[in-house]
Amino acid sequence: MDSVLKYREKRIKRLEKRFGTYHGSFRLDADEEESNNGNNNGNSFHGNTRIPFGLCQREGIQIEKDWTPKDAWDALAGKGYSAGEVYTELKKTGKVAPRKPKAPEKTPAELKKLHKDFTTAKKELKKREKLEKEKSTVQEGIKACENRAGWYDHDAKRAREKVAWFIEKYGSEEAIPSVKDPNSHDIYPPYTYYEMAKDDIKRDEKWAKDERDMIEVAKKKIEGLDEQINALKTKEDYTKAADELLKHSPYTEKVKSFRAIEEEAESDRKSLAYSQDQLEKFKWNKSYFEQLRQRAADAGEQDVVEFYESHGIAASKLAIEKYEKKVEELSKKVGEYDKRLSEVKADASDKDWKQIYDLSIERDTVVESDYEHNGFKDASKKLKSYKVKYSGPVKYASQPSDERIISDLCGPDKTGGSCVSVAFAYIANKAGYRVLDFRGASSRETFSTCSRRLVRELGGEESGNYNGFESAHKVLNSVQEGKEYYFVAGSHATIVRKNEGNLEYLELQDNDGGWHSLDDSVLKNRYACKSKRTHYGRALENPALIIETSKLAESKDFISLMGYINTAEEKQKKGKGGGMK
Amino acid sequence: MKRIYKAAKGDKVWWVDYPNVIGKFVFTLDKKKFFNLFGDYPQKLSVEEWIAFNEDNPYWEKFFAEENRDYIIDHIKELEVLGKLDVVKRAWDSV
Repeated sequence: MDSVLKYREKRIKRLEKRFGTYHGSFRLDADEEESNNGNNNGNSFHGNTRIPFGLCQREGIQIEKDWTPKDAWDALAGKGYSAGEVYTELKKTGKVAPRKPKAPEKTPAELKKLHKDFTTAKKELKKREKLEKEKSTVQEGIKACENRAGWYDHDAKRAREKVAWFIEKYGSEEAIPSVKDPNSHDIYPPYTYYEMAKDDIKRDEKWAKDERDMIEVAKKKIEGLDEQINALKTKEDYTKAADELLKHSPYTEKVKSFRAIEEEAESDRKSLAYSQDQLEKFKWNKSYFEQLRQRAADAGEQDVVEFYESHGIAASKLAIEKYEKKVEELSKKVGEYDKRLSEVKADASDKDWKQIYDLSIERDTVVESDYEHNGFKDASKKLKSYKVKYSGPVKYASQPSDERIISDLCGPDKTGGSCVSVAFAYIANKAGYRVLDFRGASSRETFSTCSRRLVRELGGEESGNYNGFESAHKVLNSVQEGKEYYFVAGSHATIVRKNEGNLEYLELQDNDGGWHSLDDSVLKNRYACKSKRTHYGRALENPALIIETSKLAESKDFISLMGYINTAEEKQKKGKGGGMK
Repeated sequence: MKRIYKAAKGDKVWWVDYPNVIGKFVFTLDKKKFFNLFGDYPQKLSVEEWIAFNEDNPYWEKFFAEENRDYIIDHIKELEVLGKLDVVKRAWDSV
């Protein structure tokens, strides 16, 4: 019995860790536990039985004395918990997140109406945006007409002044000479100029009137457009309809699971393609070395034969075995994903599913908003001026593991050096936003030149010293165990951490990416840190910069700016196998 | 602003330092042809340039082992002529 009680205590401690203080209140007393134990032939101490009861307690569900775990799970179903999901979550994160209360179920007719309302709101919003665009074009037209009418008024005024001048000079219209003065340089006689001025008045007045008529027509058009716009649904109506649909659709949760599987599948598909590529490459290498060996054998060069045999061929064979195994494993996994995806989507109608799926993505996509910090504002302006397209990061349906993020991001860099972009992409991914690799050209250049300012604005700590190693050491002194940092020294930027007392940096610009030990030799070679540097005899500073990644991840500005790094997978200039080779 | 320097005395490779830019690793062997380490190495280098770079920078030779394997396959005949087959050993034994 002692061992059973010890086990129970251990188990309770573990559960308390998972569920917090709630758990303390539902401990059964030892006598009751003992009697239960007797009744259930020792099975009541099976660890998992406590999880549903703990959750019931947390959710305020009254637990009856004779309840079995199944009864508890049944009661929890109404609160959005299922045994499968809970255990997966526990395995993955070590705790169970509270579920949002489920909305009351809608009848099929009501659901159909919600879909219809949403479709209408979407269509109307689209139409509204189109009409608003048209309205602003008309408004611009009115401004142009007003400007032109003003010019014509001005010209007519000048022409009237000219007419008045002729009358004043000659006394009356009849007195204006209609014959040219031989001493004058004018081409025509004064009366012709007088007539021309009168014609100008008529013409300019007519044109000014035409412009004003057009303004009237345009104003009426705007009135009509306003009427049409006001009859259409607004952005708020659209958001409300979308919220309502997402709240009640039976597909909302399924779409979320679907997207989570899709995200995992995409990552493994990428790894599979890379492994297949490597396998083909090493097979080809092997056959090529065999040809070289044969050639050397024919020429009687035994040492060359042995060299290719023991190095090129032997190493290729090992690599082939390694990648064959990987391809087999990943193919199996990818096949399972396809099966799981079709299962999740099984009972959904294509149209409704697509609507919820698109809406779910739309809701989880970051929209570029106004930046709070000037550095971010300027960077955004600069990127816009370079015509870098914004692609809002999408929030993950299910947060991937660190290993998966690293595996997705690392790969040979074909962009000309984008360590800043990939480190930022890593931080955004860890914050729960899918930022796919990065782009070259203007995006990379902007981030590699502006990033110091961005980091400083968010609280980065900088050390300016003429010795690059000393600067790096100084900022690295602040690294604490269990935290990750964005670190810049020399010509390189990476993520660093302290693991079991040792500093490590994250390599992401290589296929064998991952955490490596960080020492002075790495600072010298990888970071290009220098003990001193001079320019035309003048000593230059070698600053180092550090910031906790959480400070960047928590910044709305930072996440918003990631839309300029994020790119579609097919356009990425790096990644597994270096697709751009 | 940029400055050109050698990482160690006797090196053949000159590195270009851009103090205000992070992530740009540019080098040259003759101060005429400039290469971007990420993007140009090794494919845009001649065999002689590639050998000279690797002699000065074993760290980067190892770092780009995968790219170097492709490069070696493409230039194996030239390497055989130059008697530099030890690169095959270095590149494939690290697989």
